[in-house]
Amino acid sequence: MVTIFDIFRFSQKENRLTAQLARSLELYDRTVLLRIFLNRVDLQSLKDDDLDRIRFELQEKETDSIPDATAYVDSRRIFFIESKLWTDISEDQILSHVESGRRRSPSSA
Amino acid sequence: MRRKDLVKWIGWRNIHQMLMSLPKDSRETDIISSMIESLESEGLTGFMGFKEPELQGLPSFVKRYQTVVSKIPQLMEDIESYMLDKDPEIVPTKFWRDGRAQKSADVISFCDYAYSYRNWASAGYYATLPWVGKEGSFAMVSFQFDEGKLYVWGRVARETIRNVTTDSWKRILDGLSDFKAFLLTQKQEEENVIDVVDLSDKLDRSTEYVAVDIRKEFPFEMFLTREPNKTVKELADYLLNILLLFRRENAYSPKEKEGEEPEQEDLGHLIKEE
Repeated sequence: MVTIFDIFRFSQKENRLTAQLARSLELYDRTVLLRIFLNRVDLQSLKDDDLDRIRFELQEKETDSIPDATAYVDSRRIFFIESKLWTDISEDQILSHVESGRRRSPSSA
Repeated sequence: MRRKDLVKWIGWRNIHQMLMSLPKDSRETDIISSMIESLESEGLTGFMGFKEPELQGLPSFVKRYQTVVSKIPQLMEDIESYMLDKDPEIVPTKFWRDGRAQKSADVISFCDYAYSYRNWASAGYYATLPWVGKEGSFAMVSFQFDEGKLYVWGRVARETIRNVTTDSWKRILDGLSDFKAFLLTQKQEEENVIDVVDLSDKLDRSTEYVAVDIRKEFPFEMFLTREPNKTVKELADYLLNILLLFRRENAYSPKEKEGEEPEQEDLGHLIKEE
């Protein structure tokens, strides 16, 4: 569970915003806000049962990269969040999180 | 699924819209309202209309702002004349300002006037950027409109900071005893310098420092509303003192001789990031 402490432990604004977003998605009625969010990112296939089990981890190290947030259903990663403010984002950076996540052994997940 | 299809984009403005689409009582909960507030304070929203207080007194603000910015070049020209009378080798080297947005109106939040000696390496501003090989020392006046402050300061940058002896740093800091000194890192972070021992220790211990800044600040109202001649003389004397100390203590790099100028990189793509 993302806490208020998580928001203020970061000095960079984009990390703080990501923490706030993850906290909002976790704490607000998940069938509303989290569902809208998942629809926007084409993850509408997740069932309502899954929504209750989603949790976010912030700045969790993958093999070669550190995504700003990682969303799990139980111990299974379902998506990463990489956020940017005022700078361009690189698709390669995002994909490196995906690849990096794939290379981890299932037991370490 | 193609690899690129794995990436989905969602703008912060969309997140804001998403939150604003929630019922009013939900938007007023701590979690949601603080998220909305954060996004709005960063301007990460769509158009939300103007608020009356934002527009109140706008014509008089513009008139006052225009008056202020039109007086600054007059002030700086008088300062330059005063300095040139004292030392004809001093040259204005750079003028910077922010703003000049291509697609939207803007108001400058600062402007800077830098001075150095004719035979010094070009005064720079980008000591923290890795693509700048050498930067000349300079003395500068900065008008920081968004803070309502005036800064008088000097910078010794790049490799020059390591060529200055500890004794010289001591004489510089003593000569500018009412100034504050800072070390600037590659990441543009400032570290306070307590005294010359602290400065030498830090320079010895780490190679991450790219400049030493020495500066003094004044609130606009306190400094700029005095007798015009007094303002000109005091500012010019500060600048002269900084430049003289840097020159006396060899805290500068000489200009490359003609024909030895390093090739200029194409900096266009980086300049736009200012």
